[in-house]
Amino acid sequence: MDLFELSHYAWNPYGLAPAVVGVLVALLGLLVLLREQWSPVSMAFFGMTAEWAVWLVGSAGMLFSGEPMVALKWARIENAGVVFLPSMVYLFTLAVTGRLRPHRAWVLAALTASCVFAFWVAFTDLFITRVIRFWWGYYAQYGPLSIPFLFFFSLLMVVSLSCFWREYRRVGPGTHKRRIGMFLLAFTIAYAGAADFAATFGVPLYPFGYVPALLYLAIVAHGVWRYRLLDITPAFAAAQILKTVSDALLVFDREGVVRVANQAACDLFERSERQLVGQPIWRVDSAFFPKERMDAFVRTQVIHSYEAVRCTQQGKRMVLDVAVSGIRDDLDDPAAVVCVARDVSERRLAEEELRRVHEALKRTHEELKSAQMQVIQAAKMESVGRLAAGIAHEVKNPLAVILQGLDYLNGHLESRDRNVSVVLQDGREAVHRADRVLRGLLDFSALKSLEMMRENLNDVIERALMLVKYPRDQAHVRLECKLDPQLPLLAMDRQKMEQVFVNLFMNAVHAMPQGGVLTVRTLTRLRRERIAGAERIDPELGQVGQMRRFVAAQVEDTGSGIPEQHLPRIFDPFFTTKPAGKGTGLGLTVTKNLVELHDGTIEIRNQPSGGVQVTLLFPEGGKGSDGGKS
Amino acid sequence: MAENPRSRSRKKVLLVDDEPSFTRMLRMNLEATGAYEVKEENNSARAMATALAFKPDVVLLDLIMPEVDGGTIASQIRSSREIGGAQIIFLTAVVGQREANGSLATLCAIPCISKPVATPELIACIEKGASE
Repeated sequence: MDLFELSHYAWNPYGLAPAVVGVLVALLGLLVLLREQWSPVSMAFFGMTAEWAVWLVGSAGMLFSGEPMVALKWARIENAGVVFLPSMVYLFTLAVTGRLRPHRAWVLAALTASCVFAFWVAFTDLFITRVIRFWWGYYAQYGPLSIPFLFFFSLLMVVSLSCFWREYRRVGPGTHKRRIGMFLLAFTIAYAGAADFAATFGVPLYPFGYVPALLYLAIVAHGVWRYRLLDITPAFAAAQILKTVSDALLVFDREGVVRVANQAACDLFERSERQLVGQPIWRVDSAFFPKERMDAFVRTQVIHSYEAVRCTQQGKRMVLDVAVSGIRDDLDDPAAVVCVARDVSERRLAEEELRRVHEALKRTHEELKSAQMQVIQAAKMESVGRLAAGIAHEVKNPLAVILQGLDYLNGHLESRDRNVSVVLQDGREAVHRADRVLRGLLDFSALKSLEMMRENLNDVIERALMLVKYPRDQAHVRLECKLDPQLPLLAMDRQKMEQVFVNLFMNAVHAMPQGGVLTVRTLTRLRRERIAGAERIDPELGQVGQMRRFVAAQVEDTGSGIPEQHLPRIFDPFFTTKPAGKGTGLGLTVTKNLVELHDGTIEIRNQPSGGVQVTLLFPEGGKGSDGGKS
Repeated sequence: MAENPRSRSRKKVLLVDDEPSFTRMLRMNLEATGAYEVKEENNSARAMATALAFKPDVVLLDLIMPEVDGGTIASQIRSSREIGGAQIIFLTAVVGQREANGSLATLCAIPCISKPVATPELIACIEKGASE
């Protein structure tokens, strides 16, 4: 092997530069290959730089040769690299512009042609005929078979550069454009190295091809480091996104057949991608996608969202938040739907929990509010009570004097004027009216003592009805009495209870000045008794408490009802809708107090059919069960 | 002991109230009937002395008065040997009629009338007490 004998070589300063550049080019190819992690583009780049290195190193070997035979061998090595350069550049051009796939056949043809040229270079004397010595050293001389190669070289040079140019024009501003621009510049410069061919035809032009190669090297090394070889295109990103998103992502065509499914979708439906893709979605899970809405989804490009429930093979129930939108093809026809499903079961549970807590909080708030109202009401009552006692003492004494005075005058005034007795009577009436107001106030402030006896509520009601018989008849109010004969006895202060019913009956009669029907009903009711605060302690158990029997009494009229805006105030002291002088405004206040002193409740509402319904509820075995304490 | 009221033609009625206009008016009304001999006392502190001197068959007592209240005077009368049998009626402004008929009456066994009261009502009450 005379290639490896040092005696065949001689020092030639012109050989150094191509040798160094050749090694650098090879190193660049290797670095890019490593940096781009053996991506197809980087492999094409490496192939190209390898051929380039073979050319430059071969050229250096030829220049260092001391004998023509050795120089010829190096010339063959050099040109074996040169003939592959156009194909490798073409291959790389297509790879970096993303057009390799449609032009595979051309690349193959180019590589085959290069192989044929390489064969001619290596094994015939018709491509490289000999070497001659120029002033810079030995250099190969081309024969007739080099002509097709030069044609081939020029053709691919033009194709490659125009390919870069078209790509540069096509793409929008950004990294890819800058990268393509860089390659366009680098290759344009590199092709200046084609001037080396001049020497192969005997022209004594120094082969400076390594200089543009060095420039090329500098530009590409800078560019690749800065812009890298691979572009992050939306398509490239989409594939990566599909793989990494945690939401299940599916694409169906218009027939509902799954075309794309990511890993999360496979996990959701517990199938492999192969089992999923190609199946109609309703066969995979009939509840997941509403077949009848397919048309609506596919036609519009807005995002529809709905909730689906999926039961896994383990029987776990999942709530899915599904977002669907249509995709259109290049002709803008509806083509498919994209479906993104997210498991929101835990969020839903949390929301329900939150709602439950909120409800409990709201109830508590309502109770607190009602308790506060009761406190305010009680304070109001107490102040009214104290006021009442004071007023009573100060006003009733003068009233007593006036009444006695009127009585005296009545007996001693002998006047023919009839008006005198009318005036006296009016005065007496006025005193009695003032007295009634004060008595109401006093009843109200002196409600503390009750005389409890076990009584039948029906008896009390009947007696009260007797007391109001006269005003009731006057107003032509018909009575309907539905008293339950099986009513249990209740502990009560009979007089006070009578007062309660007289008040209610009188209110009812007053509400029907044109006549009507007064309905009185008694019955027993079974109700769950609420324990204060139980709901707050454990809302899960629902209402806590035991069933308790209540005696209920209902009083209904067929009057015009109470205006809704008055309903919250009807129990307020001094609140009245009767004309001035007709009512004290204390009737219902006293009534409510009396009912509550018996542990009872009073509820007043308008009936849907018109008129007012008053319901009293007394617990059986209430206040009186422990012996009638007051 | 007090004399039997039925043996007398006119009943002696003592009015104890700190309101002179009221006692005056009431006295005139009662006297107008001709059935009563009436004495007024507007100073509650002197009420007992007046009662002992007057020896009434009926005492109409206000409950709330300065110095001595009606309740105290009532118990003094009840415990007196001379006039302990006199009929006592409270006449007060601080109670409603319903209550006057209720707890107070049963507690002290003393009838209680709420002011203002019409003369016929009062007379009915006096006569009712006398007949029992």
